[in-house]
Amino acid sequence: MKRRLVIAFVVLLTIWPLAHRAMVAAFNVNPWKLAGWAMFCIPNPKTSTQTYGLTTSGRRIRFEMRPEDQFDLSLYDYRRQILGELAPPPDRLAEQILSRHPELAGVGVVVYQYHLDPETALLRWESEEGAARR
Amino acid sequence: MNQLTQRLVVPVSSRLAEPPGPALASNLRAFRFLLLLHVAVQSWGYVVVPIRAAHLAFPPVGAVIVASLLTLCAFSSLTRFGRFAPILALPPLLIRLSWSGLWIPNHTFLVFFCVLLTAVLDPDRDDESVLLLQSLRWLTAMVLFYTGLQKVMHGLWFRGEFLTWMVGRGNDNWRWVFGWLVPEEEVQRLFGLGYGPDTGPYRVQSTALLLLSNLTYVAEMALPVLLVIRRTRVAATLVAILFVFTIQLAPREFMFVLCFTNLLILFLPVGWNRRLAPLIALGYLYLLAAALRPDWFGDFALKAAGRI
Repeated sequence: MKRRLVIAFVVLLTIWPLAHRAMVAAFNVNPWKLAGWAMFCIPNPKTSTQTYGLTTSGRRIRFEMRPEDQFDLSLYDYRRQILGELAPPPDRLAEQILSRHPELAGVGVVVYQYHLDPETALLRWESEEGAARR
Repeated sequence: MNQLTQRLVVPVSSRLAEPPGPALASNLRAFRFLLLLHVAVQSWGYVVVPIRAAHLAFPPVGAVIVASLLTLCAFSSLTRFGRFAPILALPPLLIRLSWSGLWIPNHTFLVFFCVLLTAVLDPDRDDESVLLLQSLRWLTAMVLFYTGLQKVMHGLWFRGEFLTWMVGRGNDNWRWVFGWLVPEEEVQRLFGLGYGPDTGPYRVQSTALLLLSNLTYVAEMALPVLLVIRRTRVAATLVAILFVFTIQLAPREFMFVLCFTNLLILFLPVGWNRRLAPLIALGYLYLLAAALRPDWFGDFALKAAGRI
């Protein structure tokens, strides 16, 4: 029994990196993380998450982030950088922040990420937006 | 399926085995000690150089308790109660992993899998010691192979793009190791590139860099095969140790170098983990000391001190 368990475990570890590669391709999961043994394959894909406030007319405005907002933003950025699109959508972060700001009609979130294009070797930026409104 | 097992798995697994006996048991016990010493030193690394990110902060007292328990496990693995050391190490190790969350470095995963195997399989039982050796050897070869295959699958090593990126955007260590392969005017061009959209290209005219880039993944995929073949095993082990040390000069993950060397030595004739254990243990102590007193040991080992 123990022997079978160990063999199953080793087989699972052997198959996992292929599943990991598929997850990287499908969901933009970070190749450097989650035991896919793909560190140093590509530049570590950093993300940058930024927020803005929305007025009732839909105009984008700056607002003062609270420490809790900063913490949530940093946590979201970290999760997003590792899990890619498997992380909750940016709307969720926008909702969290909006709940603490009654003065705003809405909150928008933009997630930026760069990657090195294998074809051209140029730096490409991608972004995804999310928002929450009252 | 049965035919596939007979044709593929059995020949490989039999090549990874060695005859059981006191020599193999003692070698695997030395391996186990070094593995537990690794997790202990790594845990002290988190105590000495705490993580800065708010959402990753380890509780300071908890980190000391975990590091102390793992140190106790490492040294108790040398006693007659050694069989229980990796089992007792699992709870504090799991707690530490839970603090790391998604951020867990791949090297830490590898070490955790090895601790798990040594907790399940007893080196002092003949049937289990052979399976333990086979599993550890397979894990080592498999990880080395995938690091190469993943480079091929991601496609940024064929024309040296990744190394070029690291020369231009990485820290001084990367420039120190690979910068001399790139013509000076190209280095200056890379420094001048910002992070704006469509900046680049991160390719340079350097045959040496191109060769090194391609040789890296070829070696990572060829060495595991040579490790499995008995005739080429010793040479492949020595080359692999040198190779891992050399490629880690840039990221300076010397904790990983020691851990992976401990794994690679398992491919040498039985007994070398035991013989080299004092040397590897000294290496861990050196890295821990470098984390404690970087002013004494200089910047070279600082990055390596503890965590990865």
